[in-house]
Amino acid sequence: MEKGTFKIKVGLAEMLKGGVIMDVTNAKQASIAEKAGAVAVMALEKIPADIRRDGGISRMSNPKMICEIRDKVSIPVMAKCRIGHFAEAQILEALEIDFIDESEVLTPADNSYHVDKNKFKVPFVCGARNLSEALRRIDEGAAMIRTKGEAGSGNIVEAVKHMRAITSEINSLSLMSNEDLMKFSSDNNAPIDLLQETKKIGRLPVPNFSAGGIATPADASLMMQLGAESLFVGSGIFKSEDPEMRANAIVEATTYYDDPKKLSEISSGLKDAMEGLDISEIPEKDLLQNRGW
Amino acid sequence: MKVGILAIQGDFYLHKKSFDIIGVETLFVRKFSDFKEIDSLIIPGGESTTMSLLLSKYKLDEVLYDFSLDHTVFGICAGSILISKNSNDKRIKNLNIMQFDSVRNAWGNQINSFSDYINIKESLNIDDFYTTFIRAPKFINVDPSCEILASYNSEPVLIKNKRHLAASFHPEMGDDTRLLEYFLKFANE
Repeated sequence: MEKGTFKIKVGLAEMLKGGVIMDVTNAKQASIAEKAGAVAVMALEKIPADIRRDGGISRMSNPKMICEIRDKVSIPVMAKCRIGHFAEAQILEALEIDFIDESEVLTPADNSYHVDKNKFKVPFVCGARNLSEALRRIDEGAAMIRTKGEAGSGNIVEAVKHMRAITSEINSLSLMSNEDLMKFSSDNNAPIDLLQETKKIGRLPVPNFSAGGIATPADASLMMQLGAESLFVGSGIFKSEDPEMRANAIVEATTYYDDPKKLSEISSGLKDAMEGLDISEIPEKDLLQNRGW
Repeated sequence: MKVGILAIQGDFYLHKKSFDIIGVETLFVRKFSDFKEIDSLIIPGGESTTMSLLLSKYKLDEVLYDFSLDHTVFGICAGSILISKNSNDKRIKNLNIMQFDSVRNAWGNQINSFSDYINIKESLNIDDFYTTFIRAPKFINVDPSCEILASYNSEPVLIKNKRHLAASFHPEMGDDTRLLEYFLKFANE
């Protein structure tokens, strides 16, 4: 019998496809998310919009709070560790969390190394802005990639940029010779074997989800049509005026993403979405997406 | 033969990939009219709570049940939970298509998900079947109307009745398509 193999890790990511993973900060929100049809919840102490507002150092959530959420719901529970903070990751694995997000939303703990995710039995998801960054994370053992977007902004523009970048780079591989691939690999610091595999299969070697800025059912549809296989919604739900209805609407929009008539019904009757930020209003040093490399 | 794959949520693309390899036409099923175009149905793995919610909301549960009265339906992992009689969980509205009860996540959290060989009944001619269980359910209170086709550690993991199949593991993961080919044969009987 085998446990914790790469195939088993990717297996859970496959099961989460076509669904919505919601950020929750307590057991009550977790229950709302589950009832609204979330495929998983991300347990964290503060949603990204509040992390951005409050500043300071943002760390792994308190294990007690993570366990309260885990005990409340039957769907998979995810939790975040800081970039490079393998001790936080070890604690999350000991808690038997279903998926660990090595996340730029928290303050990075290491300026040179990401966590060696191959050493863990629990699967990891990591953010990426482009193909090379995605492949570096997969090389380290990530079983799922998500666009970074700009967490807590309520603005979809960065998630769109990152998803389009990954897709167009994958498409451009199909025309490359082996020499081109080697040059691309050294220019962009992308693992050559994973580049070759990506070229062969025409997509990332692991599921490719989207995160960072999704706030409406239309945002969900947009990201799914651009090639996201599932969605993470952070601040978009519990920063809105109608979390329950909005959560449910985004779940339905993810299933019926290519049916504009259904989407119009789903979007009707929602109250105001979260307030968003124009990305140009965020000082460069405060952009969460630039954490990690 | 056109196989419908319920595409509400879950790993429906992996199923399509497997049937593409076998060379069978498939259709992603999301609305009433899709049921008219298919000869059998796969309910894939995913999250049973999410699928149950959307099936009820869009009244697809009733159409699916009616379809199951004279067509083959194969429920896999989350799909097997939906197809079962009862999961003793108010978050799930079971379809009650097969007469057994399912216990969700009965093998543990993701860290306990595993791959191993399972024992499949000889008459199926599928030896050495290596497969993967992801946060899998267990099947209990199996009614005599059902036959246990495979087990693992004395637990039933593949069950059939006259027309339907349920598996707690994932025959669509990996390259071994033998069990999905058995499903096609069974659906054609």
